[in-house]
Amino acid sequence: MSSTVTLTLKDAVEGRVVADAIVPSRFATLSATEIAHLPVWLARHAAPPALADATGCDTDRGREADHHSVDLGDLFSVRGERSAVVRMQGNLGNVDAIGAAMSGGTISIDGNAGRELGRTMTGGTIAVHGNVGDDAGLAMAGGALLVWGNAADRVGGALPGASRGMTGGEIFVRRNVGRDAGTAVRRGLIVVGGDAGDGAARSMIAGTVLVMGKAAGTVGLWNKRGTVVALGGAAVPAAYRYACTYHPPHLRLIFAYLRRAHGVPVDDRYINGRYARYCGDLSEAGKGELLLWTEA
Amino acid sequence: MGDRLASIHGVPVDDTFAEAFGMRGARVIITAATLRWARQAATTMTGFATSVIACKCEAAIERELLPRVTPDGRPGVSVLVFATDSEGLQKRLVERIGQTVLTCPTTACFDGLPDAPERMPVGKPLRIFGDGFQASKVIAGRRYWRIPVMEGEFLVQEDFGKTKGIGGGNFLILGESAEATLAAAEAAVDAMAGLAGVILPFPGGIVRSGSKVGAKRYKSMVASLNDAYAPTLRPITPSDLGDGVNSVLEIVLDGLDFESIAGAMRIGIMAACRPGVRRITAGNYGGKLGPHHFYLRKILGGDRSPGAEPAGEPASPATHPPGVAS
Repeated sequence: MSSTVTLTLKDAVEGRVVADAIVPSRFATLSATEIAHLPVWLARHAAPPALADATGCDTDRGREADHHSVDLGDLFSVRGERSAVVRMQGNLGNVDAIGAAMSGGTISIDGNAGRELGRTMTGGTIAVHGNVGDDAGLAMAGGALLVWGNAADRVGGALPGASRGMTGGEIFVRRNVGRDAGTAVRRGLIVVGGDAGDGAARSMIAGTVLVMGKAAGTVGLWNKRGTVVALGGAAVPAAYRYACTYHPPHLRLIFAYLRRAHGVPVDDRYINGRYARYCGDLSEAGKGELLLWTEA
Repeated sequence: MGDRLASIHGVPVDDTFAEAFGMRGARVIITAATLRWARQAATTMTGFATSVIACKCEAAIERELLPRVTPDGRPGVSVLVFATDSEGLQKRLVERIGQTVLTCPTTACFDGLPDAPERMPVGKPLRIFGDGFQASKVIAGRRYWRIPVMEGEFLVQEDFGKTKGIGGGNFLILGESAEATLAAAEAAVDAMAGLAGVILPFPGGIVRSGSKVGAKRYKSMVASLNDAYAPTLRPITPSDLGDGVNSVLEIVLDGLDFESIAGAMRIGIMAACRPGVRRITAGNYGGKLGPHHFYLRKILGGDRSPGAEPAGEPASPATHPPGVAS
């Protein structure tokens, strides 16, 4: 038994890798050899020129994916065994679904991570000391996702066709997030240390999306009961109505928690400040809110 | 018994014990924009909560809290509330928080026993004051209710922890005069102020009307005058006062555990032993009613403070049970 299982990427991998076998609770019961024999999925791509994106960018739609599995040990060197504390090293920007459905333990990633990080996770902690791809915290239900860099699109969003996105847990992104963060969140907390792209908190059911920078574009459309906070400002949607300017007590609680539990630097002017509350989306239940910081 | 004390600063301590009872306790943390309003809410919440005999609960301020230790980073006050059973405790909390904290400007209310495995709904029943406009937030795994009020919003935690506590720790200060006895009691209360896990639920922490169980003449009375310690009745009732005693005050303590009460009693008794005090004793029922026994000399034996003298012969015989006002 080791204190940590360390996975180090051997060589750069062509195409995407689906590594949903990297789950701490599973590692906690396996020897290093057994861990090395867990399957990961490689996607080989043959993109017909006719389907290539007009901008020249790669798109999944234009790919014909041919997945096949290899052993985890073929891509990673494995050091340690029987531990729910996992450390990953290397450029993992194209390694997807790390920590999928994990229910406990810890994954620490020294560098970038790919898409669908912590997909449907229910517990434990994933810490990424770099950037993450699309769909981080996809449909997560518990635990914590800590990203020290940027996150791409659809943080805390919903599985395709699902009516609910994140249903619990916490996502902390220290820098910026892309489009559609917090779509259809039912419960949980998403904190963005920087700016959020267009479409944040769309179709929120409940929960909290806190943007410490500016929330760009449309924010909180079709929000039912969720809380959207923008410290750096946001455009108020047409279907929101101004209520008052006050000190929301739950924000103090959230800020105190962020400072103490996660070391997030929160300026006193936000903690002691007043917030303009807008009720909305009035085309929905209207019990949601947009809180815009106004002054210290 | 060489490590046990018979007198402190020349004040005899009876070789007896305080008899206390099991209760159910909760800790409520009240925060506000300023300490003034946190104190105000806590003071109002703990009003008329001296004894379960008539108040249905016993409550008092435990200590004041700096912003860095309160859940929302504002000045706060922690309150301990005790009742005889879990159901009663939950009802009292809902009543008192609903009427005195929810109504008080700028306050928020949090559970002070977050690790207690036994929980009871408090914010949950209070939420319906919001008449459907209330909203909940789950923060750090705990649910809070945001109840709209005319001032803004009242935030209260959904459930509170409850634990087995102890009510009725006590000691009696027997003094030469009312002035000297009160001064000693005040010194004891000041010394015990702010100790964690303990409250003194009576006015200013002091009881002048210690009681015995039941009554000699009135069957309906649950508790009545502890006449053995009433100076004005010395010649007409069996008295335990002894010579030179003209006033008695009692300190009653409730706590979350035995050690907290014992530690507070030791500090309080040490502070109370001063000029003008003739004796320190405690109230009990012969050990037949309450399962928790605080032996005064055993408690005091844990300290080697200046002026503390080892036990020899008891300074006075063990007294008859004076009873406790709680």
